[in-house]
Amino acid sequence: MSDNYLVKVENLRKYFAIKMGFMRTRYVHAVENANFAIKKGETLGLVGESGCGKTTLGRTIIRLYEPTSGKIYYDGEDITKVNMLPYRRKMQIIFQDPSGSLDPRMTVGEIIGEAIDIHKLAANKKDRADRIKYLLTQVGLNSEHAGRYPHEFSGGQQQRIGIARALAVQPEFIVCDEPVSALDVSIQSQIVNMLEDMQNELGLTYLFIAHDISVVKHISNRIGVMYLGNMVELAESNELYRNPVHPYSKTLLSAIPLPDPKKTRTRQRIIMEGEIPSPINPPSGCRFHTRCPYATQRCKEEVPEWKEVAPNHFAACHLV
Amino acid sequence: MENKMNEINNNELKNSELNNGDLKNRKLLEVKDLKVSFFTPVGEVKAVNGISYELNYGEVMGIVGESGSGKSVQAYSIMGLLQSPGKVVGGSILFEGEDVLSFTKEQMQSFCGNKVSMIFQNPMTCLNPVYTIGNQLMEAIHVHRKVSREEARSRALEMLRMVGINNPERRMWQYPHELSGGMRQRVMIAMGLICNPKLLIADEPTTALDVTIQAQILELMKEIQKNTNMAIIFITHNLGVVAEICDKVTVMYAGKIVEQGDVDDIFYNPQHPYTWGLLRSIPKIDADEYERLIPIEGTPVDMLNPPAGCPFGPRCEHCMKICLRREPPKVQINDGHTAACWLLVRERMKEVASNER
Repeated sequence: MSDNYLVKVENLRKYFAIKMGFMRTRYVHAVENANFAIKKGETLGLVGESGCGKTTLGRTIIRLYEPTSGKIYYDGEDITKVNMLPYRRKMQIIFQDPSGSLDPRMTVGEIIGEAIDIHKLAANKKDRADRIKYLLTQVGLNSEHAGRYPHEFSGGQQQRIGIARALAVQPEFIVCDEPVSALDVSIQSQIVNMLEDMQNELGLTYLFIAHDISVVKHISNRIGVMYLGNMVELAESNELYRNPVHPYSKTLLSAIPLPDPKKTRTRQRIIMEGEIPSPINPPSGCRFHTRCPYATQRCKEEVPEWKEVAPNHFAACHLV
Repeated sequence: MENKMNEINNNELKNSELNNGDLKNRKLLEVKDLKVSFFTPVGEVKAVNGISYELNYGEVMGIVGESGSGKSVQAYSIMGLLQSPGKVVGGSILFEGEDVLSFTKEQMQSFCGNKVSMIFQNPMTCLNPVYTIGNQLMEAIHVHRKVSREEARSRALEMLRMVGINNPERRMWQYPHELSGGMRQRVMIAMGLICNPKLLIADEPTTALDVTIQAQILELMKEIQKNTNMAIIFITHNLGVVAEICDKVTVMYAGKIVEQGDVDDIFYNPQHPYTWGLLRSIPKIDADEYERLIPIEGTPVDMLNPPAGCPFGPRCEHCMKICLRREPPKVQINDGHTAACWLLVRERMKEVASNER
């Protein structure tokens, strides 16, 4: 089991209860039956439209949300119900909004130092200060920055602080939840390169969540495509880009604007009609059938099975 | 009623004549040496520092640049939407030969929304949450045209249909919060186009949307542009979107235009190091092998204390001594393609020198 998988989820589900008046509760089916594993040192990308459950899935894996059902394994051990404190040292997260995820009343040194204190990683005060300095230089900031407050930094620098905080506890696994979406193009590439360098240096494993498929394809070894809480396809990055089998993945890939005017002029695009249905009352059968151009009667009734269509290429669709 | 509808469509007719006429090569908008400053308590921020460009009838121009490069601010000044402490401090904006900056309040009112209209990144900031969609669409018509309620209503319905909103009769009675993000963006496009403007300014209209919805909106805008032949200024930081929809591109950095040209010139023959940097720093989705990204090092300019000389100088890998002292001149590369960089000047001088020899 623990051979080379670091994180593994089985039939993971996350529903959010919403109260609809007296005695009436309904559920947002945010993540439905997720089954996958992340290898040590690998980057698994997750893509999908907003509201498809990719962030919820990422947060449930590190148990920032409690799963509704299913199992999460970390390094072979079931962590679905255990006390997370020892695992928090190993699993960290970087958030999308860099300014919103840093406490404006704490200095950068305090923000990074807090993690070191909680896990008692520093032997004495000097050691603690050295660690903070080292972390700041590691993410391309200056050690004097430790005394400043988050608002004194630009968006890109704030994201670097967020990364330094995640690295403070020397984790093995980091969930990157849209880490570059809020940044300018020229800064995005700096952060992406830094994340890659960290991975090579420290042997980190990433779950990289983003809606920008070009970035995800660039950084990930494998990519999972999500639609309305379900994973619809999972394959090695190039394989997914070259031979997508699920109609949703095909549409998603054809929707990316290519920074290449000549290719854009000749390209055939699949335009998907309509919008993502409500996850409170998801469609029956295959959840994509309401928008799928190839939907049949069977798609409306039967939930498609998650199967291996080619070596290491999984998809859930009746038509493949 | 039919006749009166035609009256509303007058502009549209005129616009479509442009297709076959020679107006296509005539100037619609001319911005000359525009300067916009914000007078903040800590000092003057020169958000737009002497930019000039031209736009013909029916042309689609993209403006790309980082946040704070002044791309939105210059568009706001065309619409007269600059808010204090922002002020136009120099230059002129000519729309069909008339100086927009000298318009009175009344002239501005009949100009905005009628000849030029704007759509924004976040539809919620533009739609009023306490009025129905129909109410807001019809208001836009009533402000600029003398038509009856019934006519305004049918025009509003027609527009909603044109932007691909299903069940428009029902939507007319709904409030903005009842619609999804993509739908709201469509409503805003409908509102922007309802008086058949000659120029549409789109300020990051698809940035907040998902790729699939973005593709829908882009296809819609392309189609409308083809049918009505209006000009569009498309402000964005997404180069993919630019490649998709624009005829020509203006690249801005720190309040200045660093490069201008046809979309093919900019993507296949870029001349300014900042444009190179932008194009290199985005991941290529069709690359088979892993290629490391080449970022533009450094941080965006502090607009309160901009560097002397070329604003991009401190981040430029080809920076020379002169770049940090004097502003680079605009160099013509070919018809319609210009870039402001000392490297090009040096190249020219070398050419001249070798020719003389």
